[in-house]
This record gives sequence, structure tokens and C-alpha cells, in this order.
Amino acid sequence: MHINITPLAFLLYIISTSHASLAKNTKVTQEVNKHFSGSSHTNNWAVLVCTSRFWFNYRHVANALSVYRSVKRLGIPDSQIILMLADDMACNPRNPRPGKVYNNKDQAIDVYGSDVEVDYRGYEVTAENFIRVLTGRLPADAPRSKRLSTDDRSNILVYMTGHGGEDFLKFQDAEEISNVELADAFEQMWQRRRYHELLFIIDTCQAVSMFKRFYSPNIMAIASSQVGEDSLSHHVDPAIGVYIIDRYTYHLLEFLERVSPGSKETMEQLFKVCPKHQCISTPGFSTHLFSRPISRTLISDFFGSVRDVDVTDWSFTAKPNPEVVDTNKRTKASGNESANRRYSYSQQFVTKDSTSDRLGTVENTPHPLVGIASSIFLCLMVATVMKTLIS
Amino acid sequence: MSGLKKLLPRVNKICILLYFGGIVGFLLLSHEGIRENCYFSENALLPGLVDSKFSASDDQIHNINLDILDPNSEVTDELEKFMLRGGLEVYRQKFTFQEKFVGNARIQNGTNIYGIVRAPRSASTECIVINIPILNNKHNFAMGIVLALAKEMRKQFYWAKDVIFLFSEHGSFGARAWLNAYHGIVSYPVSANQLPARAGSIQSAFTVHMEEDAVSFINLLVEGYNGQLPNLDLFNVAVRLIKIHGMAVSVNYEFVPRQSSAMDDIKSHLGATLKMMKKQVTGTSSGNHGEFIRHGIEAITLQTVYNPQWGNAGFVRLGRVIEGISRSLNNLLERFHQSFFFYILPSTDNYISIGMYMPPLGLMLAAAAIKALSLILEANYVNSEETDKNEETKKDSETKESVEDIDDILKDMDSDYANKENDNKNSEAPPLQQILITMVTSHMMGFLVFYAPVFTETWSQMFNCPQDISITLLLVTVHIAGMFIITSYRLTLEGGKSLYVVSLLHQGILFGVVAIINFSLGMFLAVCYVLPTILLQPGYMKFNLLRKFVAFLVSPLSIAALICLYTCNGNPATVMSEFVNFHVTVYEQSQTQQSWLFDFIALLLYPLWLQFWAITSSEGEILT
Repeated sequence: MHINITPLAFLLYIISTSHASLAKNTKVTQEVNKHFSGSSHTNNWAVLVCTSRFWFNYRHVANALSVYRSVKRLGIPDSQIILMLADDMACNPRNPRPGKVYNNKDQAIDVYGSDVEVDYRGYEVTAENFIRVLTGRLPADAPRSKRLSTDDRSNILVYMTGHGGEDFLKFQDAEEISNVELADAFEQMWQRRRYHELLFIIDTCQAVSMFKRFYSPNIMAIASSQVGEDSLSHHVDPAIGVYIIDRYTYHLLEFLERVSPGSKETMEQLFKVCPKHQCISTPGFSTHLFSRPISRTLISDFFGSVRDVDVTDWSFTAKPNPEVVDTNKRTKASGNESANRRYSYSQQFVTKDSTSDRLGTVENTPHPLVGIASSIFLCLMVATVMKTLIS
Repeated sequence: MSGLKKLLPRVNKICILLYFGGIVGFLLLSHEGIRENCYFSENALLPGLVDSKFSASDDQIHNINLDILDPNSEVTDELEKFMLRGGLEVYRQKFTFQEKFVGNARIQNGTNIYGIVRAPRSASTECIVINIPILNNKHNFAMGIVLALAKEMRKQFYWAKDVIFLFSEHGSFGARAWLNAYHGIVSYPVSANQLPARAGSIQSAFTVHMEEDAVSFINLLVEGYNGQLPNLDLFNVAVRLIKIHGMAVSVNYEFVPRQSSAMDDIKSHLGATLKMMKKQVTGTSSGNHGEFIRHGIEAITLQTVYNPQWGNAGFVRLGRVIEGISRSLNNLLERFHQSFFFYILPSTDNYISIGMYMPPLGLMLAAAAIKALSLILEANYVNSEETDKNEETKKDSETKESVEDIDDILKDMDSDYANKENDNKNSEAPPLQQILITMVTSHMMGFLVFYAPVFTETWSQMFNCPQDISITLLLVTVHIAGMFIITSYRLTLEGGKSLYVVSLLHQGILFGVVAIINFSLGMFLAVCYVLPTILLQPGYMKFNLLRKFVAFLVSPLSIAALICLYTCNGNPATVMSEFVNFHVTVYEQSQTQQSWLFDFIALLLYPLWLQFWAITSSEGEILT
């Protein structure tokens, strides 16, 4: 038999068009990704903990309250902030400015203010309560303000300050929480889908030891000092007579003051805050559990509640999902159907072997060569079929 | 075992070595490399961080002082007037006390007056006390400063504890009367009325003593009664605040800066150390703060000193220091407990802790213990019939056989001694019995010495002499009588040796225990007693009289005489009066200030010495 030109031409045509279409698909995906923030969280929460009491630990309360102020300013509402303060500095009988807590000796900002909402105060700040808050194992009568009602699309900022040592953090001069317990608490949170991504900041002595044991995914950690180093206070307020703020938090606040809601500062810039010559201690970081690159992770992913509106200039057709049942129809459906229906968690992140029904999350485009190889195979199949049919 | 046998002949040398090693070790503690710098242990104090708000001027304070010291009115009335004007709650307390016990023993009256600044925002559960003693023959110029300060304090609202300003009369008696009434206890010879008002439990206190109108530097007094000391953190707070406000501070009037030459440095620090120990030996307090420390309240005295050549720092600076110390104490959450309670101060910036100064004393007492052990071992070897070559190589002060003249000794006896075993048949009494009898006798003599001063009046009437001489004579007589009584009971060589071992151990334990409570006294006794008692040997020997003289030299009586000789520099006229004074003071302090030096010497030290004295006059032959 003589070689038929038509199948070859057909083959070549198919190859070229498939290749082109595939290339066009990849470019579109990249365009799509540029317009969206990269993170797929929908709400922001913050857990701010000051673990030390007594008048001479004024600076720890000032630390926690300053971060509280910044986080509120950047958009997280009080209902989504859990503030735990172990002692009442504002009303301490030794306070020459009753009702006010300052974080700077110029006394420019009263970080306590009239609208502060402290959720756990005084002796309620214990290691047990902290872990209960994180894992959600609170008694049924716990009020909503004391609950961390997060879901699998929540980004959480956890900020802890106080006195710490190697592998532990001191709670109120009476007990400690170890780094293993903390890591296990975060793992419980992951298994119960209580966070999407988590940023853990700790400002104590030997802080790096606290995040050494983390093993749950999507956690990023920043610590103010290495093992064997002390985190130092920044300055004294001679009018009040105490050390008023710690170095790392002071520089963190300086940085956060330049951040406005909607700004594009990334975590990479946050990591540069308070280098050794300013902090005297060396800050430490942990990003190996975090799935996104830090150069593309925005500050506002954790410190603010940003809801962007993105306007696109291209369109697509959304396919109806056959599994979604009309709600009107559902109420008329028999009880058996809904009872037998099995529920499962939706996929948080698209992996290579899961089908995606979300827009813009297709990160894993198939390799172009796969498309070419499959089209060649298809053409060969078609060619052989045609040959058999013709001959 | 054979190694031990070889060491036994050299045991005296080892003990002497240990003794001098202990002394040298103690002297070296003042060395730069060994002494430690003072540091703060209590984080809550935050000393000197806050700005001072004291705004009165020098003139204002001067005028207040003039008003108070107006001869036309009572000091207490003026104080009450000023405190009421400042808005404080003012109360008075009357008390009585007896200051002198020997001669001229009369009951005196006194009045304390105190004002309270209540804490505006906390319950009155805790307070601090600022004690300004009203000096009867002089004036305490700190009154003006403290009244101005009290007025300021009343206006502020950052005081978390009540502040009590206590103006006490008659020195430590007034302070004791007030504190006893505050805590609901009674202690003779002070009797006080109930307090009209209280302010919660006292966390800390300090006394300010300003005898002159101006101040050049501040001297800190820390010693309490019977070797008690305030917590070192309180001392550190006072030093830090005085320095922050630009004044010089000393302890025991010694400024001890670091010096470049090592010899000068160690000499000056050692001098300061020994000065502090000298003050502590007698067990009396150097200021009112001792009364507070007795109740478990950490306290210190700030005494101002003026030297015209050094200029005047002014009232206001002292006022700021007082305010700064009060604010630091205001920050306290608990009583002082973090820092040291037992220490010696070579300077204001250094301390020697109990962990550093006990080992040298331990070495010295180990010398006595090792000597006792060696005697026991020797006895064992002799009993197990080992060869005599060990005893041949034993050292000096040895083995002369001779028989005492019993009759001469019997003539010296003048006692109504109850025990009738006074003859040569003592060689049959077992050693344990001899030890028991000697110890019981010596302690009975101690009781006699303890109760002797009760008869002072009768004695002075009998012999028609003033009471202070009579008490001295009484004590001296009972002392010497005891010496003779104890030697009337003859110890055999066996008994003597056993008593020697027991007395050495007794001495070690006694001095060790005393050193824990009052280290200076324990160290002083160890230095005086350990060397002679190591070198003692029971039984008759060649230089018996010399040996007895040396033993007498360390008796409590002769130590007192030597101290008086030293303080008078050998001037015979004053030595006698000094001697009398010494006895009177020691006795009176035990009665009025409840320092136990006299009780200790009478009931514990004197019997111990009597036991050694009995050993020196034991009979018997020491085999060569």
C-alpha cells in the first residue's frame, strides 16, 4: 500500500492545534493567577496572649495591646480577636496613669483605650484555657466572645508574649506550656480544619525553641530571639517607672504603622524587621511548613481583614455542578435521602489527582509535552483505524 | 589502716595546719577575685526607674524643722500639727520602759506618735514604715524632710501600700513598744499601750537618722540583734538610690573603692569586713532597724554624716532618696525573700555570702574534730594491743610521770560540793561517770554565773560599793570559785582523755551552731579557743603551770580583760573602769535588748571552758 498523505496531514494539523491550544491554556492560567491574591482564605482571626502578671511585667501587657491595636486598625473586628491579658495594668494601684496603658515613653497612644475588649483576663489566662480556645474544646456555656470560631478558610494570627525559656513559655508564674503541647494543639487544629494558614509570632526569651516542634502544615513562625538569647526591653518610661515595651514588638509596631489596609507588603519584609543590631537578639523564622512562597504572602493575609474586589476583563462559562441540589427541591425530598447522604470535607487545595471546580485555583497545568504525546497517540490510533477501514 | 597509723603522730601538726588554713582562707575572702558583686535578686523592685516627684525646697524644710524644734512647744505636738495639716491620720501611743538594771533602775515614760498615709486604690492590707526617731538630747533634722514628703505622698495615687511615719522616742525602746503593740506581744522591760490604729502587715521599713543640719554622705547600718541582718536586696536598693541621686554612701563609715594595688585593695576590704564583724560580735543592733528585723520585717538605717570639708548635699536630695526607696518598696509584691539573709559586707558593692564564709570556719572546727577522732583511734590501737612504736613517735608536750600533791589541792577547795567522791579512789570510777559528773558540775556553775547578777544589790549593800563594781566582783568571784570547784573532782587519765574527746566535739558543735546564728561571734570564739584546746593534753606534764596559765588565758574572764586592755591601749587607770563597764554593759544588754551574749557566755561557754580547765588538772601518767 502506498502511504496516504491525508492521515499524516491530519495528524500534523491536530498536533499543531493541540499544542497551540494547550499553550494558550497555560498563559490564561497565569494571567488569572496574577489577578487573585494567591491565598484562598476568607476570614481573619487573631489570638493575642500576654502570659505574665505583676506590675514589673507591664511591658508584656503593652506588647499584646499594641499588636491588638494594629490588628484592629488593619481591619480584623473585635468579634474575631481573642485577647488574653494575665493582669490588669491599667487599674493596678501602682499605675500613675490609672485606666491607661502606654507603649512608648512619649505616651502618645493609650493602647488600652475605652474600646478595648479583653476576652480572657486575670487568672482566666491559663495554659488550659489557651489550648481550649485553640482547639475549640470549650464547655457548652462558653460565650461566643471567648470562642475561636474558625473554619478551614480562616487565617489566624497567634501572638504570644511573656517570659519564656528553652522549650517552654511561662503562664502567670504558676505553670508552663511546652513547645510539644503547642505543636500538638496546632495539629489538633489542623485535623479539625480550624485554620487555613497560621502565623505564629512569639516575643519572649529563647523564643525559637517554641516553634521548633511544629509539624502541621501551613504554619509560619517568627520568634524574637534564638535559643540561649534573651529578648530585651526597649526603654524605660521614667514617669511611670517601668520598662514599657520590648524591642522586637517595638520594631514590629514601627513596621506595622507603615502598613495600611490594602497595602502589598509581603512577609519577606516582615522578616527583615528588627535585625540583630537593633534587637540585640537574633530573630528566628520558620517557613518550611508553609506552602506558599513568602515573597508572595502578603502581610494583610494575617494582620488585616482584606476583602479585595478584583475586576477581570475575560469571561468563562461556569459549568453547573450536578451534585448541587436546588434548595427548594431539597425540602420536598424525602428524609431518607438526606439521612443517607454522606458528607465530606471539600478539598482545601487542589492536588494533581483531584478535579477542580473552583475558579482560578488551577495551579497545576499539565505539562505541554503530555498534551503533544497524547495527541500523537490519538492521531496514530485514528490513522490505524482509518487504514484498516480503507484497506 | 596503716596509713592512718602513720598520720596519728602528726595529728597535731595537721590540726594546726587546718586552723591556720581556716584563718588564711577567711582573710582571702576579701580578695578581689573571690568576693562577689552585689546584685538585685528581686525583679519587682525596679529601683530608681521612676522620676522623683519631691518638690519641696531646702528653705521650706528648714522652716519646718525650726517650727518643730521650737523650745516653747512639745515636739510631739508640733509633729501632730504638721501631719494633720498634711492630711494624714495621726495617733499617739504611750509606753514605759526600764533602761538601766544596774543601779539607778527606774521606770521611764515615753510617747510615740505616728501618721498613716492610706493607699488610695487598694485595701489597707500591707504597709511600709518610715521610722524617724526623736532624739532626746539632739535633734533629728530628718523630721522636716519626712513631713514635706508625707504631704506630697498624700496627694499622689500611685501608692499601693499604706505608709506609716513613725516618730519614736527613746531610741530602740520606742520602736520596740510600737512594734510589740502592733503585733500584740509583750516583752519585758518595755510595756506599751494598745495602738489606736493599724495598717495591715508591715512589708518593710527603714529608719532615718539625721543629727545635724546638713549632710555630706549617708552611712548605712545593717546589723540587727544577735547577728540578724536585713535582706541584701534592701541594702542594694538603698545603695542604688543614694548613688542615683548623687550622694556618697558608706557602710560602717568605710568607703572602700577598688584600688589598683592588690595589697591595698585586700587590706581595705579586709578592714571593712572585720569592722562589721566586730559590730556583730556583741549581738546588739546599731539602730532602730534591729527591732523591726526581730519581727521578721526587713529594715535598714540611713544615718547621715556631715563633714564641713566635704560640703552639704542638701535636704532635698535626701528627701528624693527617701522617696525613691519608698517607691521601690511600693513595687514589692511579697516580702523580701529572694536575696541573702546571711552575709558580710566588705564594701557597699560587694558581699561575702554564707556559702563563702562557712568553709574556713568549718576547717577550723574540723581541726578540733580531727583531734578528737585521732584520740579515739589512738585509744583503739592501744586497746587492741598494737605495738607501742606509734606512741614513741608522738610529739612534744608529752609524758612526764609525776604524782600530784593531793593535800595541796585539797586545801584549795572551799566549796560545799555535793558529790563526796573526792579521794584517790576515783581511779576506780568508769570514765563515763567521770565525764557525766564533770559536765553536770560545770553546767551547774554556769547556772550560778547566770543567776549571780540577781544578788547585785545585796552584794553592794554588804560590801558598801556601787552596783556596777559589785556586779563585776560578783561575776569574777563566781567564775574563780567555779574553777576551784571543778578541779576538786579529780579526773583520772582515762577520764581525762574521754572528757577531752567529748569536750572537743562539744566545742565543735557549739561554735558551729553559734556561727550559723551569729557568724562573727562563732568565728571569734573559734579563733580564740580552737588552737589552745587542740594543744591541750590530759594528764600531768612538764610545763604544767604554763599550760594552766594558757588555759586560763582563754577563760571568758581573761578574754574580757584582754579586750579591755586592747581598747584602752594599756592605760591602767582606764582599764579597770573599762572592765567594770564591760561587764555592766553585757549584762544590761541581755536584759534590756534581749541580746543573748551574756546568757550564752554564762550557760554554754563558761561550762565548756571549765571542762577544759578540769582536763588540765587531771591526774595520771601519760605513758611514753
